[in-house]
Amino acid sequence: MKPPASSAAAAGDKGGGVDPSLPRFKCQECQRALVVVGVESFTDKLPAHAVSGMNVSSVQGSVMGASRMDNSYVVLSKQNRSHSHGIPPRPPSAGIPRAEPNQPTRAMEGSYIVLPPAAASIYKTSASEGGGAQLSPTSMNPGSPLPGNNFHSSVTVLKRAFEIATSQTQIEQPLCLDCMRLLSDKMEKEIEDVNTDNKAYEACLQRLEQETYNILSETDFQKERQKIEEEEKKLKAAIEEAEKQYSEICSEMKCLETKSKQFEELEERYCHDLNSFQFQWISHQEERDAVLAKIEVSQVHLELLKRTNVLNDAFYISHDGVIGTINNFRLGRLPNVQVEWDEINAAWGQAALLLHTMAQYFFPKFEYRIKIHPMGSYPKVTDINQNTYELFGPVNLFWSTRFDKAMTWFLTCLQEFADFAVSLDKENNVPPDKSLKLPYKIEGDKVGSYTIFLSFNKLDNWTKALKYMLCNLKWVLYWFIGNTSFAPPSGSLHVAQSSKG
Amino acid sequence: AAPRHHPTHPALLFASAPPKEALSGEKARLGDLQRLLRMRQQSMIGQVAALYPVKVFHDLPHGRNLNSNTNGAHRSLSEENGTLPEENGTHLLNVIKLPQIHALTFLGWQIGKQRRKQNDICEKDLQRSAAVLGYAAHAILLIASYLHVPLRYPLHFGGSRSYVSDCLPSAETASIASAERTCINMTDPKLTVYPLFVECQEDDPTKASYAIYLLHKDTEQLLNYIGAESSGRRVFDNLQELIRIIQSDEYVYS
Repeated sequence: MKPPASSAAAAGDKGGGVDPSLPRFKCQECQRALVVVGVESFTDKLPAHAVSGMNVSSVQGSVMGASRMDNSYVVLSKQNRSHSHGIPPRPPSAGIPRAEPNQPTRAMEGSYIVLPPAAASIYKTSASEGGGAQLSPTSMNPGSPLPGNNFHSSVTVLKRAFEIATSQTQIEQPLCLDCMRLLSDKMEKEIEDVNTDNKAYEACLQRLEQETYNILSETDFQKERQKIEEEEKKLKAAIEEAEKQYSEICSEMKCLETKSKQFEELEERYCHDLNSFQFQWISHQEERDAVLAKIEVSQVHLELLKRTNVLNDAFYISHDGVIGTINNFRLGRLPNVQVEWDEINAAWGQAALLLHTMAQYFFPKFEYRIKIHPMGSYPKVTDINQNTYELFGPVNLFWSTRFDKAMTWFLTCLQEFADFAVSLDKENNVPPDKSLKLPYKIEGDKVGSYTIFLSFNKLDNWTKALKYMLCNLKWVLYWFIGNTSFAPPSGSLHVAQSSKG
Repeated sequence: AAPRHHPTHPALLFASAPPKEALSGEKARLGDLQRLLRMRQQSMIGQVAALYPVKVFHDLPHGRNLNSNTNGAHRSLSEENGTLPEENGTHLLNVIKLPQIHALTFLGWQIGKQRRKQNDICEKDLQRSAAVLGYAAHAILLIASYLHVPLRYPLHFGGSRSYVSDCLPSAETASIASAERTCINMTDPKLTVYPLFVECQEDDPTKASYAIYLLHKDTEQLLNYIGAESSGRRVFDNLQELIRIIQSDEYVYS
């Protein structure tokens, strides 16, 4: 609870309107700054060396001369000197005092404790408390200047005063008025609680004093005692029995725990075995499923390939309305269907390659007189006189003799190959009804009464002739597939498969 | 402890578990089936090879007998490159190696580069090379379908005017589509088609070069499918190797 001089000075500076020579303290509860006023009136109680040079009137003037008092003042008057626990009444100066005209108006910050001269008795220290120092009043005039009175002596006085107050009240001093009020309320409540407790205890004592006691006789007491002792014996016997049972159960429990551990180990081993077995089983099933899936895929693929013939697949002959097609290339054109020459050439190229392949297969048995030269979309035909003609367009629709001759020689070659096929069937004793017979008769440049010439011919008729020619080629192809080993016989494959299975 | 989610005893599960004998039987059945399938594939691809002995004849002066020297020589794609006399014709594998169209074989070389003075000969060379590439495309298409392999770069067979498709990013496709409508396959806007031919000697051969490169990649894909490595950058060498491997016994019994 030491008030540092620096903090006191700082507070004075900060306040701006408070005399810096005044000692300043803090409220021990809310830590607000307190300025204690009227200390100088008690300096006559102090030794001469401790007296400051500041007179009381100047201090009083500095306090009372303030135009506005912001904080509380504690005035220790004669009346409340003896009230150690009570809160001092608010002094008249605690409000806003009247400003004197000759005093400068200054704001006062922090709480003030004004000590009137009559309150000096509390600073009289005994030999035990003050360490033998006796403070006696002096005959010094309070109004006259005190040369020995200084800041340190003021602080010492106040410090001593607050120490005494603290020891008397068991509450840290100094306190501001607000904190004093709160403390007072708290203490009053505590007093009230203590009084209530006292009343309760008194009521309880009265009730106990009024109760009557039923005192047993000696014989009854002995009987009661004997009865209780017997009961105690029985209980002890029961306890012994229970302990015996407990030890038996404990040993049984140990035995069961051992068995339980064995069972748990067994169960764990079983679970591990089961899991590993199931893992093997699942992987085995997955492997089996994979094998079965592969079998199914292979079976489907094999069936598809067995149904597929390479020549029929490579040279698929069909039709798109009136126009015949080979490998989806349209061979021919109509006035309303303008087929590009690239497509017609590709179709002729495929037809040429097919006929060439079949003719070449039977060479030299088949006298391959009219040569077909497949060369993609640019096939050529060489006649029996070794004249070569282009079997591709574009050509002049009115004068295309070379193209017409190429087509005619191609038709002749097809007819010759068909005749060769019939002769081969006869050779192999194939019945006439099962022998090759072209659906459309070929006579020179005509196929089923339609000329294959493009020059001076209607596009419809030329297209029909080409369609019939492709139809004949398809029949020849089917005969070729059925009578040659160009395609492996599917029967032998089937036999091999069934023997494996 | 192990998770206890299967209270059934293992002995009870054995009843429903397929025995190992059954699995080995299924595996044997699968092996037989795959052998049959490969035999069938071998046979069909052999037919494809037989289908394209493809003799591409040069134009000869009238009156020259073409038949005199051929002697029915029947060479397939799978056979070793035999050189037929120049006047009679050329095997498919040799056509692509002709000096005048040698550029078609390699990606970096110009296609149909004029090596002779006459324009008509150059045009015939272009026709011949286009025909050969068309036939190669058809052969690859058939082999892929019999092996059941979807080609990475789909082929559109059109005789001497065949195309190879390649997937391009949509933005690039859009820009190409606006620049050149003929190059876009309208069925799938993301596919750009490249020609396996050159129209005439003045044409830019870049697209055709790229088409040949894609055709080579397709043959490489088929080789990889049967577990073989690509042997260089020539389409026909790879195609020949593919057919050779498929027609060997190791393909059936591997």
